[in-house]
Amino acid sequence: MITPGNPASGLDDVIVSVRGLKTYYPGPHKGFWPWSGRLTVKAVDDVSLDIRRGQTLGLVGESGCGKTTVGRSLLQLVRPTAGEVFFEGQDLRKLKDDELYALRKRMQIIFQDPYASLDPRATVGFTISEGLLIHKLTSPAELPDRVADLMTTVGLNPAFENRYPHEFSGGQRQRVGIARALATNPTFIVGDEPISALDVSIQAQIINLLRTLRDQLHLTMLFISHDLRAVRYLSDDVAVMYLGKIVEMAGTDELFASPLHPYTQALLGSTPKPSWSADPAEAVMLTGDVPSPINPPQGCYFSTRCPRVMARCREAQPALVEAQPGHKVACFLLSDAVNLV
Amino acid sequence: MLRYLVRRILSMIPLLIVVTAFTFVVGQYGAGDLAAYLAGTRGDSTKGFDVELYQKFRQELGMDDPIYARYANWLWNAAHGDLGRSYVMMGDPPVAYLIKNAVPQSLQLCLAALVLVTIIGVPLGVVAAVFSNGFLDRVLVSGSSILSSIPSFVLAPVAIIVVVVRLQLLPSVGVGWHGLFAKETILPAFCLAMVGLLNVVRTTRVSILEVLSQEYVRAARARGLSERLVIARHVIRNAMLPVITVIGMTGAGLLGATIFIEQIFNIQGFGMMVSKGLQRGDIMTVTGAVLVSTVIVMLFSLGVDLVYGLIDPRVRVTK
Amino acid sequence: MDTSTIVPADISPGGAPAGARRAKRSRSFWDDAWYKFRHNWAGMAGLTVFVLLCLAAIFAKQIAPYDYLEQDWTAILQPPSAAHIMGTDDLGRDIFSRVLMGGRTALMVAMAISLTGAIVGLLVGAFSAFAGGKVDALVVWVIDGVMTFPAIWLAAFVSVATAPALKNLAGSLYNATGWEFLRNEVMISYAVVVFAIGMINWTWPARLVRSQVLSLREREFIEATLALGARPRWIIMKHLVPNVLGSMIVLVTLSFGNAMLFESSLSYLGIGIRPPGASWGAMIFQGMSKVRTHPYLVLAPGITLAVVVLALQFMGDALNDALNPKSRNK
Ligand SMILES: Nc1ncnc2c1ncn2[C@@H]1O[C@H](COP(=O)(O)OP(=O)(O)OP(=O)(O)O)[C@@H](O)[C@H]1O
Ligand SMILES: [Mg+2]
Repeated sequence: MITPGNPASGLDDVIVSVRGLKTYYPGPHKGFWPWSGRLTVKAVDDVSLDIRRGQTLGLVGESGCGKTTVGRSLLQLVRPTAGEVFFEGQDLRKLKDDELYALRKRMQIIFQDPYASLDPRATVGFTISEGLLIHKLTSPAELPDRVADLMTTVGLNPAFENRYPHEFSGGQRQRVGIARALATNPTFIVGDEPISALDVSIQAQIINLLRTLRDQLHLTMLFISHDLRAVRYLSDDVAVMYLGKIVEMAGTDELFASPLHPYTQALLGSTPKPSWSADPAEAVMLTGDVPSPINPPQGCYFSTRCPRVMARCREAQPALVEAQPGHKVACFLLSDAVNLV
Repeated sequence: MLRYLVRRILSMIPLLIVVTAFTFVVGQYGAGDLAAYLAGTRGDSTKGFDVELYQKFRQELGMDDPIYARYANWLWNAAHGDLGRSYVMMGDPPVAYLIKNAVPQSLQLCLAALVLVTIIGVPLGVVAAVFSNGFLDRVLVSGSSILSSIPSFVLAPVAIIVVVVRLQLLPSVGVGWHGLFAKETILPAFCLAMVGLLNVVRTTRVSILEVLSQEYVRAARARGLSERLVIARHVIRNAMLPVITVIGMTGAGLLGATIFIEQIFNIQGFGMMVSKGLQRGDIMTVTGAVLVSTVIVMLFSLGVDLVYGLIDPRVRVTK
Repeated sequence: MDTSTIVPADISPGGAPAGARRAKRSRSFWDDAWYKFRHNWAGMAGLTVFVLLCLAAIFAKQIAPYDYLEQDWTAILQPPSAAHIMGTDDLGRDIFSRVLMGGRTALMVAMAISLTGAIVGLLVGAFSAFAGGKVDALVVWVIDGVMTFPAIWLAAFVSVATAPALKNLAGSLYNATGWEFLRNEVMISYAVVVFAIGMINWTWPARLVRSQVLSLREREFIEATLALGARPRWIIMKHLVPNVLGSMIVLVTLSFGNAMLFESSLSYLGIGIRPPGASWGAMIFQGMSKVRTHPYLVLAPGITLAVVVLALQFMGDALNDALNPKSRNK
């Protein structure tokens, strides 16, 4: 069977820690010529967060707000522009390439799109065993057993080892993706919307599989989603992102019970079944489009859509401060309240 | 629009410079010691020759200058309409004069071929698309693929044998250029047109199929318009953009094929000039021809873009 | 009744009847491609012609009834007959034997060109796509530049301009080594033709590989492999190459036919293969002056050339349908 991670060293230590993370992408050209300069897309702009061992942090936000970029930056799949990313105490940005390649077996990712994330011309057996081959973790003789093990663990028939991805359904493909991520016994896994491309009927299966595996293997997770129910079901803490910044962060129960940021309130209000909302009429509706991360608005990024916007909001950016113990918010409505107290 | 045009024209200049520099440098080195050649050794450096004459030629040709200076000099003259003289055929008029006399005929020939390939290829492509994957589709696509695969220098003699010698449908050819609307132009233009036929048929077919699968076409069908009306009114107009591009690009390919067609039909055009120049190793003529043909091809693609812009106003805004 | 035999080759997986689906499941990607190719008559016909040509070229000396250089002054300009099935030329040489040898020439040249083209194109295209930014822009610009120019002119120009230089090179190599073949004019003309056509030919595979790598790089499975800790080399060998191979096979097939056509074209223009080397293009050119009275002089090599080029075209199209199912038009 799969050997569990290392639960002995206490459950409280911070395993992933991000400080002031900024990841900018080169955007479209400013001018006509291929050599004219490019605009910057500030996909992630000053994000700090901690994930403790064995815990799951849920990351929610609208499409394009930079959730995937946070995940990719954590694993150094894109090189962040600035900031620090610590994994088990090591600053990943200071590692040499070789050290980083070796370290990647300890941190893995499950992708959103089960179609694009599997090589159409590789058998699923190869895909699952690839991490083992790359890091030479298993002897050739043991490899088939190990692959069969992994396939059983994620609920696939090991007899299908030699089949190609196009012969599988979306849910099965996602199981392959999970098996691939688990193969090298990682301690930390980023789940980048692993269920959003699946049929609703299958989403529950995959979510349950993830939860079971996480508990069995003592995995630490960053769970990215815009499905609030899934986040609530899986996460210990939740961070809400808007336009590259974290606007609110708290324990799951706390956040769902008393969201403080107008954006979070709107998000919760827009969930199909707001069972947690005491009074549906209270729900705030969002209007207007998300501003572009190339050219974000002045002041608070949410000020263009905020139903409770004040004059200050258009001038200065609110900092992420602890409004209540363990509950951080970036909003003048609340930082003022804190100041008054 | 004007700014776009200016930019487009400006962006052509680097390519033009690199292409001509490449041709010039390769040509000058590849041709060997021209002065020695002219001084009587015909390129064989072991033969003795008249040293004085040799020095004189070297000086005249500017061969003691560094290559970039010679190129710059050539380019400067070229910009003033002087492309130099042939080293090989000393009696020939200046290259620019030769080109000026040859180009119009070739352009007219290409134009005739383009018109032909359009009026033959586009309807065939439309029919193939309408009957897509049916028998007629296969026949049309394979047929044009056969016609386009036959090299011009095979198709042209076959056409002469069949049409002129056997059937005697057209007057005897091989006596030069008789003007765009002469009967004698039909056969060379047709043979030239076949070079691009497959491209035009294929592109038309594919873009029509693409438009046919689009939402508004389905909506038009749902409104109860007849199939013929749908195709005539919605599909053809929307499918024409890629077709125009391909016809424009075909223009360049046709210019290339004039090298065979003009020789076979004995038309004293650009292609004939180039093929003769190549056979004689006449570097100045060829370099000049490269410059002019590159300009022609670029103007062609510019023209295509402009037509594109006229038909589809969106392009003007976004580009 | 066995349903699988009447199912068309391009059936969609979802709508296939049970029999076909069962057959399909056991096939791998390559098996599946072969199945589709086998059921494409044009492709199979092309393959047959191509195989025949290869055999004829390999065994040209055995098949040919005469030596391709042997002149028979008693049998000049004979029309096709039992003794000379394609007739004889103005020096009394047997045209059939010459067509066979011309096939050998065309095949050898095309093989050299399309293989080097594929390798160079692969390297340049992959490098360009990975380097990105300015390097990529420059490579694209060069490729576009080469392509704006009428290809045959460029090949002809390079061939004329580099022939003396290559000849000199071969001469000095001969002085250094004493290898006799370096003085062989025909061999040198082969090299010139390969070089000239190769100068253009690499652009097609380079452009293809570049766009493939770029689009593959967007596909998450590359990133997934990167996340596993793979080094670039692993990603290239295990993922990029296998994925690019399908399109490459198609392209090499098409460029093979193209290279044969170009060889003939250059030889036709008198700047390709030198006599006494045999080339279809040169034969057509020589026959052209007598085409009205002795059409077989042109028709024999001409039709052979056209058939072979067409065969490769059909083969390439069929391979494209089989290996790149997405590019197929519904
Ligand atoms: N490679 C890239 N180059 C340039 N811009 C990018 C790139 N990847 C993402 N972006 C931009 O960065 C911003 C954040 O993208 P990201 O994929 O992180 O968002 P997301 O929250 O994961 O969205 P989704 O819910 O759609 O997955 C978007 O505006 C996106 O357009
Ligand atoms: Mg995402």
